[in-house]
Amino acid sequence: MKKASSAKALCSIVSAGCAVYGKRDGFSGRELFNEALDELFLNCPKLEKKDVNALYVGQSFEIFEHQANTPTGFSNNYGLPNIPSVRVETISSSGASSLRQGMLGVLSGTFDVVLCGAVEKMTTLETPDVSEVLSMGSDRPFEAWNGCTLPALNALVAREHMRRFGTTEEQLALVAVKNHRNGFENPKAFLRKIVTVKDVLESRKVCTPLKLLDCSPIADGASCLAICKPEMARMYTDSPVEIIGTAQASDCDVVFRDELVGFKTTRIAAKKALEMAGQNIFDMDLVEVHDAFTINEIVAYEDLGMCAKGDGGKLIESGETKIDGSIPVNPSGGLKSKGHPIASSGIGQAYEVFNQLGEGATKIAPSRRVKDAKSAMTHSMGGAGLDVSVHIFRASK
Amino acid sequence: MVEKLTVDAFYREAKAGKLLGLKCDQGHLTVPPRRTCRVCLSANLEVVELSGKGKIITYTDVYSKSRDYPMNAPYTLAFVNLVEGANVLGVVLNSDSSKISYGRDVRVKFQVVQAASADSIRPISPEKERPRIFFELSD
Ligand SMILES: [Zn+2]
Repeated sequence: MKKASSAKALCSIVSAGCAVYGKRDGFSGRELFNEALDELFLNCPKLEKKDVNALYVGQSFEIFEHQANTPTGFSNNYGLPNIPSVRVETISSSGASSLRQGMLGVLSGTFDVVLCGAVEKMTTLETPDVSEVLSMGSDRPFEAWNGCTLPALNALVAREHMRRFGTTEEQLALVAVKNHRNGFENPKAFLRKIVTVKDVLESRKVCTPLKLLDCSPIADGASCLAICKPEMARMYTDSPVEIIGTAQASDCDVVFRDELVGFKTTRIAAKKALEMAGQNIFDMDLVEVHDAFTINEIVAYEDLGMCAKGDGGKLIESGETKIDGSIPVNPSGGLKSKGHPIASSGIGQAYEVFNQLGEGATKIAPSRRVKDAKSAMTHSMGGAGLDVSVHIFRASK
Repeated sequence: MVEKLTVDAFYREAKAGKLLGLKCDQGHLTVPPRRTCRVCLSANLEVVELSGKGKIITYTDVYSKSRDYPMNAPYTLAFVNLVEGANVLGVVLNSDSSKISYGRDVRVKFQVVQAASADSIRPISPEKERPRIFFELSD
């Protein structure tokens, strides 16, 4: 039996928007962010531009568009003049960090209403250049300089997990199969296609044992949430979604660690966030985890406490994390199917939760809707466990 | 406090074939260099010279590489545990995947390999002469 939380709400999400992820030729990052903002304001007519006190934007790399100081351009371009507009960066978890910074602004009493967004326009570069840019998220002098890429770091984890626990490439493939099935009817997802275990196993090698279909695709994307003080939420919507737990942790580079088969940042952040919410992982009706690579979802199962260390492969096999399982994971399709516009992924997860727990649920295809969802967790990771943010959400309906 | 072993000094010595690490007052070893011990966070560190010998813990054949890494793909990246106790990441020279497995003995070898193209915004001054970390398979 899942236990509801009686914890105090920290902030409420009153609206959310997300640009369609993919190779969005002809649209700049700024225009994709506008697309997300259009949806956010359209779905929340009582929220006016003048109500917004600040904008936080997660963005990992300015080199894709040779554009820095991005948030100031965003707010003033969209007709949100004068407000503080600040960029937040923790590589792949930049979006989740942007949400946290916005929440801290509200919780301090400084702001009433904040926009927490994220953007990454990635398809401006060829793939080897994208790999080089993403490698900036690893340690330059000792990782990137010596042939390490982010997929390679995760492949090292995958092989060690396979050796230690007998995890198989088929089990990794099952993560892709599940998430592609979920993403198939997500209109925001980039790769809306069903894949089989065979497809994954036969896809081309990227960093062994990881293959192309074990990796989330390079994509353009933008997403944004409007959050406010919980007591103000009903001014804007009848179905706000409350954030009742938030925590973040960081770790040293992989080379300094003795543990390769798990990420302590996930364990620390999840424990703190769940404690704030007064819940445990099995109280969650759905979980959106960072599945940039299939191995990440397996490892996240274990570090989030959904199963014992080493049993993640068995958990995906059991089907319990499918949409009709006891704890659905990545009903959105995950980064795997939606695409991974680096910073946007953290806010994209919260966008999914806002819709699953709020009024938006009726618009979600039944094939990927979690019935009567009232609680949810998001788990966003930067690098190979370098930074993790975990958030816990509660429906108000 | 003066840095005990800068990244630049590490690579300068590496060019002369020396692998340096840092040892704390409790005997923990930290490689590559940083301000504090990777185990106990002590800042009381001494520079030590290491044998360069170690064993492969995990590895990956990298088919999709970063533009600025000068070796041809596929190459094998290995996570190596040194006999003295710390870990090093690098690429296995003349790698043949069939010869690589968990526990394989290797030795660190530094080599200067310049990136093919310089037509981008990358750090020039500290990296120009800097070697890279490789491993040779031991017999
Ligand atoms: Zn120590």
